[in-house]
Amino acid sequence: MIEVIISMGLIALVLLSLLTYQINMLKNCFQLNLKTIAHNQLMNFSEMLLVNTGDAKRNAALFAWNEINANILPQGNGELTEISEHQCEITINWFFKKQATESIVVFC
Amino acid sequence: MIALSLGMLLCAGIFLLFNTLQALHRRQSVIANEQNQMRFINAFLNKKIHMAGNGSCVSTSEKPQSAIIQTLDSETAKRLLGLSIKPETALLQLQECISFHNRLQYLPVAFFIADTHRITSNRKNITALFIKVGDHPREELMTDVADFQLHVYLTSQPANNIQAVEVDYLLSSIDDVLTHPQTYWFNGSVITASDRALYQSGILYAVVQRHL
Repeated sequence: MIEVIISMGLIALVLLSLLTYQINMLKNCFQLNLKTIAHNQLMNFSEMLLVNTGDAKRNAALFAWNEINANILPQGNGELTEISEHQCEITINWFFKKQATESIVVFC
Repeated sequence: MIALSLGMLLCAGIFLLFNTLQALHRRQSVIANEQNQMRFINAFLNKKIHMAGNGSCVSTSEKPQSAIIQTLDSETAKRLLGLSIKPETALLQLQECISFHNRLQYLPVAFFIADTHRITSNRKNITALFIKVGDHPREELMTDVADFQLHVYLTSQPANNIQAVEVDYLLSSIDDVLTHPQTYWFNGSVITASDRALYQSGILYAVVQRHL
């Protein structure tokens, strides 16, 4: 009987390690999903910049975009930095277990 | 006797572990699938909206003078196009040169959500995003799209042309994969689901290149 219990214990250990692995995979999958959302948001804002020219319109677009960021990403927040005359850097930050950032440089 | 009880306890534990593993795996597959769908819908619709009004396949005289982009609600879609779409969702119609039957043709292309007439194991109706080119029958583009809302941004010169479109869409899993109903954000409001399906909201903002 003791052999059966030992073998079951071993099976339980293997399954437990599998469970830990699966939980980590799920977390990674969730993180990747957030990255995809962030990337989509960056592309969306680059499109917004094409039609919203001028400082006032851009600031309004940035405000509207950040409202969406805060809702679809955990602690999501975006920034717009003008690098040169027609080059802008869009950055998006969010927090899931650790700080994550995605950015692109676009024509603006 | 002690060994037997210990064995049974271990058995129950193993069974529980296995069940949890299965549920986690199912959830992971759903997240991966929804992520894939989100990427596809954004890339596909983005390209279509960019190219709206592209009449390069027809001469200017042949090109119809109708609006290059139209958004219709479910009632108007039924009345004008005879299409039964999911109530309280929107229909997006674009005019563009599209490769159809091995030939480039300037046709209206409509995107909308409708019932697939299929049901899940929980007897829930399955809805999908459809594409309809001209008068041809609709084709299923993507299964499990639960909502589709549109916001348009107009140009000032020339007046009232659609310059950009914001598409808010909601993806859902076919099966209930969560232990509790999910609370999610969609189209400006926080919603608590009535079932235990996994929901994923997505946003696409695309500019009509013709008006740039």
